[in-house]
Parts: sequence; C-alpha cells; structure tokens
Amino acid sequence: MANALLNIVQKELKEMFRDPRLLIGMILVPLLIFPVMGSVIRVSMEATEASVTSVSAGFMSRDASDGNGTMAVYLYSYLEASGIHLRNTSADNLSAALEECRKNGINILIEIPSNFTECIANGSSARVKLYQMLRNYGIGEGAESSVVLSAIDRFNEYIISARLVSIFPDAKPDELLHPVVIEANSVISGEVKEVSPALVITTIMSTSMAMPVVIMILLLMAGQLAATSVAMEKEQKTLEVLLTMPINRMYLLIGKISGVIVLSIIATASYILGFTYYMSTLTSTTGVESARIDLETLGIVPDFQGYFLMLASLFLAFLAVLSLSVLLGAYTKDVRSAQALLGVLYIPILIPTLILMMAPLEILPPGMQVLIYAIPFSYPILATKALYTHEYALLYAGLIYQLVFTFVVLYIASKFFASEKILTAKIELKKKKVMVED
Amino acid sequence: MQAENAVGIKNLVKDYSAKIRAVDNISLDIKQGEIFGLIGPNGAGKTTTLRILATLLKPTSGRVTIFGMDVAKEQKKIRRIISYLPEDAGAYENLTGREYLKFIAGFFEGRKEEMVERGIRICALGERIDSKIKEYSKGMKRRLQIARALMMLPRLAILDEPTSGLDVIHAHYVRNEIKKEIKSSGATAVISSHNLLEVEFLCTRVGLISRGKLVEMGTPEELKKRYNASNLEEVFLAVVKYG
Repeated sequence: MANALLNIVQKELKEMFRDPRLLIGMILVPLLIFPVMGSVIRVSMEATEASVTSVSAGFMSRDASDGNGTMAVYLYSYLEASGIHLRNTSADNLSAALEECRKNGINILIEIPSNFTECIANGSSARVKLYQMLRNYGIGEGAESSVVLSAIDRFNEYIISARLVSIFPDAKPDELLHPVVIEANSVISGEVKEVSPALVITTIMSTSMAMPVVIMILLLMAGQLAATSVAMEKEQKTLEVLLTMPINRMYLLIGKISGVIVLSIIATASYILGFTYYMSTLTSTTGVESARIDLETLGIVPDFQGYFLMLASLFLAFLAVLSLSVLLGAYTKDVRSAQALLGVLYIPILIPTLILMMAPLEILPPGMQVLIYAIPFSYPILATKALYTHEYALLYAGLIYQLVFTFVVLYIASKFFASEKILTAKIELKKKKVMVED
Repeated sequence: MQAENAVGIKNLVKDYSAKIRAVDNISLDIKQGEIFGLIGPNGAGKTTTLRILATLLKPTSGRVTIFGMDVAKEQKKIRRIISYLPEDAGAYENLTGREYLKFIAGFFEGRKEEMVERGIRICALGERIDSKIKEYSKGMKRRLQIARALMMLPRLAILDEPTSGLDVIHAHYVRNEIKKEIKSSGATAVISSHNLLEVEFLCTRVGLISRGKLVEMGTPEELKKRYNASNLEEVFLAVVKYG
C-alpha cells in the first residue's frame, strides 16, 4: 500500500507545482518581493544620504561686533568645516532672507542674533534661530536640519572645552567634556564580556527578529494551502471519486499533508533566501553591519541541540497546522467557505508571534503564559529565542505537547475522513447545514 | 442457472437527520450483467442510493450487498470491484488526461498499463490525452471520467447522470461507450439519469423512485405496457403524478 501513498503524494506535487498561482504566490513572490523591497529602500536611503551629505544653508548674521574675531565668523567657519555649504545672505529682514534661500534652492536659514558674540563672551546663551522650509516632510528633510543641529552641538562643546582648558591647562579637552565615562559590560553565561549589553541585544534582535515573522507567514501559508486543497477536492467532486478507491483513507490525509509539507519547505527556502538578501541590503545601507559584534566570540552561538529543537518544533507545528487546516477544509462546502473559516486558525498563529516578538515569556502575566504554552504554534518561536539562551528544558516538554496535540488532531481528522461526514458536512459561510442531494 | 445478484437492497433507509429521510424502505435486486436505471424527480433519493452502493454513505437501517458483500462492513473489498462516477465529477485540472488515468489505475491491482490504454481507447481523445485537463471542454472531461470509471473493468459500475450537461454528440458517444463496455466486459451497471430516452436505450430494467420510495420497477417494455405509454417519459409522468 506504500505505492498508493506514493501515488497520492506524486499527484499532490504535480497538481501544486503546475499551479501557476501557487508557484508565483509561494515561491516566486518571496524570491522577488524581498529583493525588490530591499532595492527600493536602498535607493530611497541612498537618495536621503546624498541629500544629507550635501546640506546647504543660508547664513544671516546680525552679530553687532565688528572685525574677524567675532564668534559669528568662528561659527561660520566651523559649520563650513563640518561639510555644510553656507551662503551669506545680504537680506536685512527674515522674509527677504527666506526668499533669497528659496530662489537659490536652499531649505535652511541660520539666523545669528545681534548679541551673539557678546552672549558667548559673557557666558550667557546666545539664541541662534534655524528656519527650515518644509516641502515633502520626508526623512531627508529631518536629516538635513539634524546635520546643522549636531554641528552646532559640536561647536558648543568646542567653546566649553576652550573655556575649561583655561582653568585646567594640562587636561585633555575631551576628558574635560566627559567627567564621567561609563563602560558597560555584558555578563554572558557567568562570564564578563567587554561589550555593551545594548549592542549585544541589538545584534541578536537584528538576527533573530525575522525568524518568528517568517515562521508565522509559513504557517499561515501552509494552512491556507492545505485547507484550500481539500475544499477544492470537495468543490470539484474529485474527493468523492478518491473516497471510492480501494485505499486506506488515512493515506489521503497523509498524502495531502506530505504534498503541502514539500511545497512549504521549498517556500521556506525561497523566503529565507529572499529575506536574507533583503536584510543584507538593509544592513549594508544603514551601516548596522558595522555596529555588529561577533556573537561567536561572546559564546552566544546556536548549537546543534538548539537547531534540532527549532526544526523539530517547526515540523510539528507544521503538522499541527496542516492537520487542523485539512480538517477545517473537509468541513466546508467550497474553497470560499474554507478560506473564510480559516480565519479561526489565524488567531492562534498570530497571537504567540506578536506577543513573543514584543516581550519575553517570563515577564508576561501568568494567564498569558498559559495561553502561549497551550498554543502548539508558540514553540518554534520560543525555540528561536532558545537558540541564544540555550534553555531547552521547556522546549522538550513543548515537543511532547506538540506531538500529543498533533496526534489527537490527526486521529480526529482520520476518523472524520473515514466517516461519511467527510461528504455530508458542508459548512457554508454563514450557516451550518447538511445538504441533501437527490 | 440463475444469475448471481450483483446488488441486493433490502429495506434500505437513509436519514440525514431526524427530519430528513432521503431513502425510505427501498428493496430491490439487480442481477449480474444488468444495466439498471434509477429514475425519479430531483430530491427523490437517487444520488443517496448510488452513494450507499459506492460505500460513501452508510445505511441508517436495512442491508445492502454487492456481490454478497455488505456495504456497511466490507467497504475495502467492495471498492476493489466497483467504480463510481458522481454527477459533475471534476478531475485534477493541472494533470494531463493520461496522468489522471495513470493516477487512478495506481490504486488497483493488475496490469496498470493495460487499464490506462483501455481508458485512452474509451475516451478517444486522441493527442489531447496529453493535454492538461483544464484545457478540456466539458464533453472531453466527461469522456475522460467515463473512461476512468470503466477502464479497470469494474464488476459494478455506478454512474450518476453520465451524460448530464453534454451536447448531443458527446452524450451520444458516452451512451454508446457505456453500453459497449458494460456488455463486452459482462459487468453490471446502475445508472441514474433524468434523460429517459437514454435510460430506455441503455437499461435492461428500470426502477422509479419518488420521495425516497421505490414506486415502480420493471423492464422498459413492461413499464410502457403497464401504463399504456409510448415511452418512459409518459410512464414517469404517470407514476409521479399518481404515485
């Protein structure tokens, strides 16, 4: 009878791999959409970066002090040295100065008050005004003014250190500015590592954040595929013919699930490929890569056991979601009803993903922890976290729970497939009724 | 020597719920080699009866046997010797006609290549047998289904509305193929149809069901004589009207 099972699996695979909607939706789209998204983000980031590296500003000085030594001239030189292209404006009032900037394609105007040098000399705050003409309210505009503001911050530090050096002539200006310096270290598995905890967390988050999302998408897709596939067999009455074949009906169930698993594995590979490319595009653009640390040297390395548990829990989650979806699909009358009913299954898949992405399990209220443990789809997400924490005891218990859950659902599904309910149960969108034909 | 009963139905009742009785105490025997026609208005219980014969549904009460085997207890054995063609049965759109026949042949014991070749001969789709089923017309799909149902030489073929929705040419072809294949293989067939000319052409005996009850049975000639009718349609109208 292994031949009969093989026969069904082969048919499932042929049907799925020849369906252009599935091929495009599950394999080609992930392969293309992520690189396209990455490229689009890269282009916009590069455009933003380009606009930031060539910031221009109008400079309207009302500083009353004369001569080359005024602070306004110092500030002008400092900003120019910081890479900001300044254009002195000859206008004598604000609106004329803004109009001049606008005509010259400059978005920012820096207005130096008349008491600028005097205030700095007296040790009081000089109030410089910055005007930015907002046009598109984009990130690039925000970055433009940030460049000017941070240059002025550095100018402030320059003045402060110049003042302090007169009091502490032997001290280093940088140390004068930072009387307290903190060195944050991470303690990992009892060992002190000279790396900032924030950096470790950021690095792990950037590596592992994507995993739960990918798992969630795959579980949703696999569920959709399995339920649709069974509902399609009912709608087209191919199931009716299959049920009269001299085979164990369990094979129909296993064959359907096996076909979806094979397609899901390929879809997973396609997602991971696409997503990896997407992440690499983002990190190379944003410079996150340079801030990363080598997790291996810190001893935060996923080990074989971690990978095994992740794959095993993912496989069992797949089986659980597929068994439930096949059962849901078999209960419905047609594809449309199956897809509507499948929304019920989306909730337990989305809940653990969203919650665990936001907060670790331990800090959740007890009721919510129980809910997460009760959902069999939580465990692959918990396993991605355990890759770094190496706390596996819970996952082994989870595997047993997933196994029991899957077997129970499979048992119910096989009983359902073996009964006449597979043919007579026809849940429609808004009503449950048994349709009687002839 | 009397021919063995291919189908034995005794006091068959099928309820879908406490309020819905689809088949109400039907009893009949179908002899080996017969082509038995089941006719009746919509909702009379024809499809339910055929589905019980095809082991898809279980009787609520009564006993149904196929070549002596009980449909409620020996489904696996029965499924080896029957073939069932549901009304409007579809096929897998992304398989070719040949692949579909191979797929079905894969479930049966015996020489699968021979079955597939027989199927290809019955449907007579020519080169189109290697086209995907989604490219077939309705008539071609039905011919493929008839071929699928008859290619493994079933001892009992259960055909629900075999020519429903087909044009005259395809319907004519399908009818002829059914008659030819059933006769040449010595099989038994139970056919449900709304086309009474078709039933008269194909069937050796006819049973008329109305509201779940078997209200009339006999050869087409016997029935026509009994109701002084010139064709089965007149018999049908007389029985349904007065029955």
